[in-house]
Amino acid sequence: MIKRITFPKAIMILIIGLMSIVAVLPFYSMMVMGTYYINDLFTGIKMVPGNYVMQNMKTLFTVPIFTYYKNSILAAAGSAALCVIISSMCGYAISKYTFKMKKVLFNFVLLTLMIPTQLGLIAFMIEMNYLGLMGTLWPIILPNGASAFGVYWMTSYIKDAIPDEVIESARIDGCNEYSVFFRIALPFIKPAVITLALLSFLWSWNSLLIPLVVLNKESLFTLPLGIKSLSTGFRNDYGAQILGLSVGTIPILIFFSFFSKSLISGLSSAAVKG
Amino acid sequence: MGSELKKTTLNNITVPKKRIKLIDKSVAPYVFSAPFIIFYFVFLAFPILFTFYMSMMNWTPFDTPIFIGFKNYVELFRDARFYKALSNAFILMAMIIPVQLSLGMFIAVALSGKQIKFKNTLRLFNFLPYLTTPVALGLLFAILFDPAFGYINMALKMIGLPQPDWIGRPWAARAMIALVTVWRWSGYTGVILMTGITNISDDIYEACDIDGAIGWKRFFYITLPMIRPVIVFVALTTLIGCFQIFEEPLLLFSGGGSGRGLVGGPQGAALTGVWLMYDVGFGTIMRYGYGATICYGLFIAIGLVTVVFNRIVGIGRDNK
Repeated sequence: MIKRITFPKAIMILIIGLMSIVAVLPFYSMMVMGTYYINDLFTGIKMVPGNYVMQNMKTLFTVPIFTYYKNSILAAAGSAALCVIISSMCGYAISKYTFKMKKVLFNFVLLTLMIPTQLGLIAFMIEMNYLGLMGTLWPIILPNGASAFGVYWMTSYIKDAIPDEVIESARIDGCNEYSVFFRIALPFIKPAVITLALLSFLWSWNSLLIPLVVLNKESLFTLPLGIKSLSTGFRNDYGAQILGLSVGTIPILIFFSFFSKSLISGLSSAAVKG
Repeated sequence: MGSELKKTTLNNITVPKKRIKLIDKSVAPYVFSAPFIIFYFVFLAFPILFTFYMSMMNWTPFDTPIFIGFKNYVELFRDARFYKALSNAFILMAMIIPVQLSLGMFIAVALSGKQIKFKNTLRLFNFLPYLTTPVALGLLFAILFDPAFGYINMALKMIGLPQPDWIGRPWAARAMIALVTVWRWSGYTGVILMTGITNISDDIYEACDIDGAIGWKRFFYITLPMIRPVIVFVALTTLIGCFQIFEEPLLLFSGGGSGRGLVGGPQGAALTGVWLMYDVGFGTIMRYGYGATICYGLFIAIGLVTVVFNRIVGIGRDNK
């Protein structure tokens, strides 16, 4: 069978191709620009890599970029773990139990989905100071335990994913409520757990505002803060600055790319169901 | 851990006539939901409520806080920078939302069909900007948009177009922020709309084929109405997001590139709500109390926008 490509279809393919190029071109030029000496960088648009990458590397590694990575990984992994465990427990309670506060709790979750939490920032900083958590990574981990999105996502997933009969028969077999959850329910919702963990990791990894306010010394800086300080640290060395951007973003982008399907499905579920 | 759990359960259960054990089926849901409720109140609800208390104080890092009632709010209503931030949000909405939704819709339609090769790769390409740390994008674009040596103006020069002073001129600065924002979010919008489209059942499309609704007709009469809730969701979150654009303008104007250290961009044209809040609270001014007032001002603004948007969308629904 011969596939016929009609004229409108050809236009569509052309445009989507162009759009994809526009989407990735800045990343490409970021990687290329990091390989040039500062003075060569601005003589014209560079499309092929230069040979100055080692020298730029040397300049770049005068900043503790591995410390930034370590802090970001700790904070993002901690956030993901906390978010997943708390959200799945609460989602399990809402979707698999009948109790007095059930409706109230679920409506509360729906309501809080819309509240821009950034706006509590100033008081949050004062609170963290009062609790003596400034100077640690806890202020950027703990708030992620309260994810309205996470609870919403887990509630709607668990409702269909775990048959009530399975829970009932586990109870009859002598499991108490908590071992039913940890040993029977959790394995059932593994895909949702992974997706939520990835999303939570992504959001924590990319966040700037809270770290900017609560992380007050360089040994605690996460990558976004480190990247921000590149702009002042290497004020005049754009080569090193841009190489820093590549070093700070490309590895994690590759990591996220592997899971993009799962991330997309998680993100869109809120829009499609809500 | 054990004692903490017990405390919350005792608070929630009324009339404990017979001894209620933690493993009872009636207690378990409260134990399961307690961590979320506790975390929510400690780390999100309390700060938001405390922000209101702070907004009534003259509170700086250097002095003891003094209660001043609604004086901060009076100042807010006269603050030209606050109105600037609000009007910027509306201007950015007008610049961003139509473009972002159309591009997103195009991506969604083009990549949801079965006819295109490398569908998943193209989808990922368009989704990459969303995955990238916004700070890094801000710094990258600060360099690319630099009026003197940035690639964007170099490219414009090559094809003989005028080269705007992106960093120095108010409207050029707004256009730059809109461009960066649209670039970052279109792919995200696209994949979300795409999920809406793929959720439309095949039966409906088969029925259309029989009725002869194809091409544009199919898009306007079937796809668009079917994914209306998704479009509404995306539009609303984008609307609210326009008050909260922060990382990109911060880096574009006070970070790399020419590094002009300009809060709010040229003539305040790029000042957004969250940036104003940050600047008043932690940036050049350090007034926690007034910063808290700005937070509540933004709360009210975002609330109003949401209500008005719901009204408009609701009316549209009634007419159908």
